[in-house]
Amino acid sequence: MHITFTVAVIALFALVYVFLMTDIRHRTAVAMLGAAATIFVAEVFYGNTEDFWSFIDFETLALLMGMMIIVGILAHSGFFEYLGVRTLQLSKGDPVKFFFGMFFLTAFTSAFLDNVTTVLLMTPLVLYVTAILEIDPMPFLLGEIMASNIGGTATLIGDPPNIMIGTGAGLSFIQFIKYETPISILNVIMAAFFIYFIFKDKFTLKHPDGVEEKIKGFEPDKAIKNRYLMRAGLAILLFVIVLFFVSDIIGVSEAVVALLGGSLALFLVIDHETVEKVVMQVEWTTLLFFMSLFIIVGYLDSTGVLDMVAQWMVKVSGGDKVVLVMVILWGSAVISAFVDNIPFTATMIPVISSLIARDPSLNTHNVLWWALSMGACLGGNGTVIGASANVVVSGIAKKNGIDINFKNYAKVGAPVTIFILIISSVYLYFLATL
Amino acid sequence: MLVKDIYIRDLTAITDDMTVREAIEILYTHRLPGVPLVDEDFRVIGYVSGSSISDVIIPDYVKRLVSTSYFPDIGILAKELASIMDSPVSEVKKWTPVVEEEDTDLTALKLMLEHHRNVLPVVDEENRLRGVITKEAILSAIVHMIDNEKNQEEEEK
Repeated sequence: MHITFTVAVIALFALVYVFLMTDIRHRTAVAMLGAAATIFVAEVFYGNTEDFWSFIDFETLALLMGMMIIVGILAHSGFFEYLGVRTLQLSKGDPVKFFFGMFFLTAFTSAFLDNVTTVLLMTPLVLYVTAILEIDPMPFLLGEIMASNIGGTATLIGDPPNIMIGTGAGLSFIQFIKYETPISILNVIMAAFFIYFIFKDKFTLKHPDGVEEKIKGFEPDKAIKNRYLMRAGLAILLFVIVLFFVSDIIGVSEAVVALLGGSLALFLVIDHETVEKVVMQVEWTTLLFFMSLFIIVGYLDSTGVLDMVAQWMVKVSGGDKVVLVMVILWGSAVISAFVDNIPFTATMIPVISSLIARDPSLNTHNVLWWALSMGACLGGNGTVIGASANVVVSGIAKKNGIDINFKNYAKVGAPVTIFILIISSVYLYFLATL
Repeated sequence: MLVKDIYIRDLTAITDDMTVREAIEILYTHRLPGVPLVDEDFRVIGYVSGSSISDVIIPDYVKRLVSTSYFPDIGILAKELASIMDSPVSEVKKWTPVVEEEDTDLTALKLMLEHHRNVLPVVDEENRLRGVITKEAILSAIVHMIDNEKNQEEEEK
């Protein structure tokens, strides 16, 4: 590699990161410009090699798009509000039960569907119910954020970093179920109790009389706006999840399953207008962001810099597997708390690949990948800007006169994150030494 | 056709010293969808309507829900309205486009559709209220114009 080219690519990558951190421009605009500039520089040095096409991980893009279509159809049907209202009725208006119910519901939904969509649909309902019960919405809102981020860690399709890691490292849906789901369930339960104990005295009803009457007045069935869409969406979700489980056996990639499910979902929609709406709601800007990052990181990787980072990490950890796992877990968590975890994961995948290529014995039970996944996903809970779900929930809260800022978020978010990371560390320690 | 041939020379307006409660009274008793908001010199400084008030009293989180039909009646609107009823009317005002007498009917109608307004204030060059124009007034004026032209043609024959 030409040394000037290497320096130019590193400089562009660093510039992109600085812009992403300061947030003064839209992340997609930053990444696209970074990618285009990097391709430009590469072509000046090496001519039109069309290398950049091979850097784009189309499997990740297809998986994201397919799942976004399915979630779009379910969101349109009113299914999420139905679930929320059902949870409310099952809780009989008891704030504690409602808190745990919504926490587990959000975590479960986020494990299979996009976190942002989940909180976008659950947060208004939480605000509405807390207004009726006349209780402080804060623990519920923070619960939504953390449940969605922890729940998202549980499966291959739960969170963008997991999708990238799954396709980038060639890990299957089943492997995520085996190694990440159990610990994520434990993390979800522990986090729910942790937040509950922090806010313990906020769950008392001021006017307990008549609450049960009010709750009885809800008619969850009426929340379903389009019964056909809901049934079709759910059938396809189930179909896709079943296929995910067997994708390894039948030798089909998860991306193709999601693509099949997504297009089948659109086909079942029937009316042209809803198809247009659902396709418009696919987050194309996010997909462009991914595409651009893959290109930037692809060029960076081709210069051998990421390989050097991997070498350095081995050196720092003294070649000790446990130390390396902890460095990846905690390092990823701290960085993801402040920087978007998507570019971070994209950069780390080639680094971890290089580590494994050097010494496959470091990666027993794929422990390095799980450390990256948990660090990147769970670290997002650390600050109010750590993950997209945090930004969405605090944005909605602000519009309704509730201030979730850096400070009051950190008071709960930071201890919960550290607590969850400690549990995850213990788990990864056993996995690494097993 | 020009605005000056169509508009209603009605100077019903809400002044900025009124409360939300008074605005609702005026809108209801005059059966108007919306009324210009003016300062003491009768300069147009905004627009108050049934929509602009509704927009404020429906909480943001309710607007975000796919449906509200499963809600029991727990008096959300009453609670929200009670909190702003006696506040100055500026809390529920919206910005409004305005037209002048020499503007065309097409300009007025397009502005109304674009900004979802039923009523547009008509102002002079110093932004002082001269009257209002509505979609219905424009449509009816055009029908009359077409009829008049036809009648004239027949008379000429």
